[in-house]
Order: sequence, then structure tokens, then C-alpha cells
Amino acid sequence: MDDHASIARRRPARLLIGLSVLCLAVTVPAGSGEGPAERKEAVRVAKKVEKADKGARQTEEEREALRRFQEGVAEYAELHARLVARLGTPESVAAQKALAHALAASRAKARPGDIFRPESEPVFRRLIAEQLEGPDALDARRTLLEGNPRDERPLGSVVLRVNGEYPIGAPRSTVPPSVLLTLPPLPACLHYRFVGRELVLVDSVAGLIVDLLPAAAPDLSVS
Amino acid sequence: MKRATIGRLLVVSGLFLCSLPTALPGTVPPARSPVTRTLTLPRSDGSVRFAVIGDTGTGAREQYDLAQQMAAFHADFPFAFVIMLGDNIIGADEPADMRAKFETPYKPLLDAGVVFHAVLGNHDNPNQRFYRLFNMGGERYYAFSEGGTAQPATGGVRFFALDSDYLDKPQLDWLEKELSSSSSPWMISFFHHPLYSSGRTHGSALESRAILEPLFVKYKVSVVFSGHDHVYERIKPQKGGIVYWVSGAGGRLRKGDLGASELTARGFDADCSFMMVEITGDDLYYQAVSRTGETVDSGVVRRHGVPSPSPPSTPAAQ
Repeated sequence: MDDHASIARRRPARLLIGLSVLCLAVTVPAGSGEGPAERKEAVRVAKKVEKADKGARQTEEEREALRRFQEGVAEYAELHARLVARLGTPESVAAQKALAHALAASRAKARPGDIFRPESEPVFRRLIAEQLEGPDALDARRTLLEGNPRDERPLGSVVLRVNGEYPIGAPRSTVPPSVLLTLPPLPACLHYRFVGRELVLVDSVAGLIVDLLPAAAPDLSVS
Repeated sequence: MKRATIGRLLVVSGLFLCSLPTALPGTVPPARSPVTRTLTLPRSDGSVRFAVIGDTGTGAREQYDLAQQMAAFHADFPFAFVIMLGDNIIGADEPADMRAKFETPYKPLLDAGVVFHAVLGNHDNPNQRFYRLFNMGGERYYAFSEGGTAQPATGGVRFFALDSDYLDKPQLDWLEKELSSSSSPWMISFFHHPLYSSGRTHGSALESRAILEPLFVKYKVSVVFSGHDHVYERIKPQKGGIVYWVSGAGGRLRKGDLGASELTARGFDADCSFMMVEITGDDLYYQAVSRTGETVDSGVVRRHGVPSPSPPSTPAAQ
């Protein structure tokens, strides 16, 4: 039988071995560093983006509605190109405003819904909702709220109107990549932007608001 | 009250007072007398040298203070160019704003011929891409090379400047085409929104990560710089061994914004900061410096796929 002295000598060694085994068992995957919850969210978001990249299902009616949307967009892009050819690329704020003024004058009768036609509104709302609703879309909603002028400026001070200027000095909300992958592609001169929940078609060169779709995004709560 | 008790109270009060922050929460401490500037970069012949700043465009005193430090360090470490990580001009961008928020603070560097390469942030007018001094060539996203035959010690560095505010399909297709056709040994990307960040205000852009990280891993990008969170953070190597940096305190600071995170290799959120980088051969040396000139981080990153040199063997005892 072991005496007390030899048991006492072995105890620290056993403790050390036990601790080493524990350390080896609890290893963080190399190159990671995020907690388990963050890693899980990252995996869910990656799957969501992969699905968005494959393209959304659309009915024939929806495809037709988006085709007409694209016609309106192409018509605008032609107008933009003609005016840039005449006035030059706006390298200064003054030139940007001059281009915006010329564009607005050329489409003086433009109204909301000229490009986001009524038949395309439900399609846009559905496509956007698919990317912004649900727990897997938390990152997308947070992204959209960052720099969103409704969020970063007092309510009521951002007035949107067709042929108006995108608010000078106002930030731009980042458009979640999954939304961009899902919505119909645009020519280089046009961007989708969100102001609050409104989807705005913005001439990114002239800073001109080309069309608006109210309540395009679902509730953007992130809590 | 007994003397011993009074004495104890005094000691406790003194300790309490010493532990108080020297600035009110949310404010930036005034620039103290400059500390002795220490350069940790090797300054090797033929190296590629650049600085990194993010979220600068406030025109505030902090931006000017930091710009002065950059100019001071430039005297010892003449970096040839600066990469700007977005939010370059915040708010109005009339000519007077461009002067106050960019041309004046960086005048010493501009006068010395330092070239600035910018990307767009969410506070930037997209037409900054036409502003000559940002060298964006009229594009939201672009690539440029440094080093190579002009600086043979490096073998070439290819930079990919992205518009992370609007990651549309044409940009992603362009990026993959550029990455796949690049033969530069060093590939570096920079853009506004960090794929990895422990900043409490914004944090990691997960959807952007899902789209960009696979490309970076596939085509062996070595390092990535971003801003947006107004702190400094060096992230531990992630997938593919890629090192990510957040350097978004170039003119604005969110003091104390860094959350406790297993991502962080080194973080600094007590003051504004910028980075200097030197690439020579297979090594990228970095030094992050605060507004008061203190080095807050420094080290070296080995190029992707190149093993670290073995330590010299100890000669056998005779």
C-alpha cells in the first residue's frame, strides 16, 4: 500500500496531466477566434447569401413586370448617357448639380411609379422581404440601417421626391449584398438605396432621385 | 474619528482619484507633448512603403493632429502612397470642405508627392471617384500595382480597392477576374466595411464576408484593410491565413468601442491612429501609431503560403 508521502508526491503530477488533457480537449479551431454564436450566425448568413446568388424564383407575371421595369431603367440610362456626353462627367459638386438639373428638366413630368411601375411593386417587396425577414436576415437588416439617412438624421429632415437631389451630405445606407444579388441588375449610372424602408432609385453620378418605392422593406427591427 | 480610519480613508480616496480617466467619457484627450517617435519598420532598400488611414474626413482637430504625426513619421519613413479606407469626406463636399477635410491636413504629404488611393465609404459622395487627388480613375472599384521591377526587393504588390457599400454583381465579377489574372506575389485588398471587427457600433459585415472571403482565400490574398469602426484592431489570421485590419480611427474615434473578442490579436481604441506598412520580399512589416506618436502595435506578417524562416540551429557543443 502506498504511504501518504508518495500519494502526496503523485497528486501534483496528476493535476498537471489532467489540466493538459483539458487544454487539449478544449481547442479553438485555428484561424477562427469568434465565439460559437458568431460562427453559427456567419454560417447561416453564408447559406443565405449563397441562396440569393442562385436567383429568386419568379412567376411569369413577375418576370413580365420586371421586364417592363428594365425598359424604364434602360430608357433613363440612355437619357443619362446623352446628357453626360453633352455636359461632361461631373467631376465637381457644381457639375453634378448641373447634370442633375438637366436630367430633371428632361423628365419634368416624372412621377413616382414611372419606373417602379405598379405591377412591379409587389415583386420588389417580395424579393426584398425574402432577404430581410427572419432571424437569418439580422445581419442584412443591421447593414441596411447603417448609414440609413432616416436613422442617422432626425426624422422629417430627409425629404424624398422624384427629380429631387439625394440629400446633400447625407450618408448612404449600405445595400446588403443578398438584396443586390436578388434585385434586377441596373446600369452603372443607377443604384438602389434605402432611406428608411423606402427603396430609392438613385442616379449615382448626378445624385438625382429617379424613382421611389415606399414601404419596400419590411420592418427593420434588429432587436 | 480615529487617525487610522482617517488615514485609510485618505489612501482609498487617493487610489480612487488616481483611477479616474483623465478625459470625460466620449471625449478625446488633448494631444500631449509628442512622445519620442520610434520607428519599428526596417526601411529596407527597394521596399514598398505606404500608410493606411480610415474614416478621416471630419476636418476636426483630431484629424489634423494625426495628419501631423503622419508627416512627422514620413520624414523618417518616406512612404510613397496612402490608402484611404472610406468616409474620406464626411458631410458636405464643396471645394471648401475638400480643402478643410483633406487638402489642408495632408498638405505636407501632398507637397512631398505622396499619392492617396481612396475607396468609398457610406458617408462619401460616390462622385469622389472623380476627385483627382483620390486617384480612383473615375471608378468605384479599381486595382493598382506597386513594386515589381521598379522595386525588385518586393516582386510586386497588387492592390484591389473595392466599394463595399455596394457589392453588386459587376463588381464581384470584376474582382474575380482581376484576382485570377494577377501574378503579383503580394495581393492586398482594402475597402470600407470590415469583414472581421470587434467594434461594438458596427462589427463584422457578415454578408460581405460570405461573398468576399471565399475569393480572397481562393486567390491567396494576404492581408485586408478596412475602416468603418472607429478603432484600431488587428485580427488574428482567419481562413486562408489572411490577416485583417480595422484602421478606422483616422479622424474620428469611438473611445472604448472595442468589445472583448476572441478575434482580436491587438486592439486600440483610446485615441485616433494610423498605420505604416513596409513590404520587403516575403515580409510585411506594420506599425500602428497613435495621435500622440506612440506605437500601439507593430510586427510582421509573412506572405501567404510562405513558411516562416526556421530559427538558426544552435551549433553542437564541442
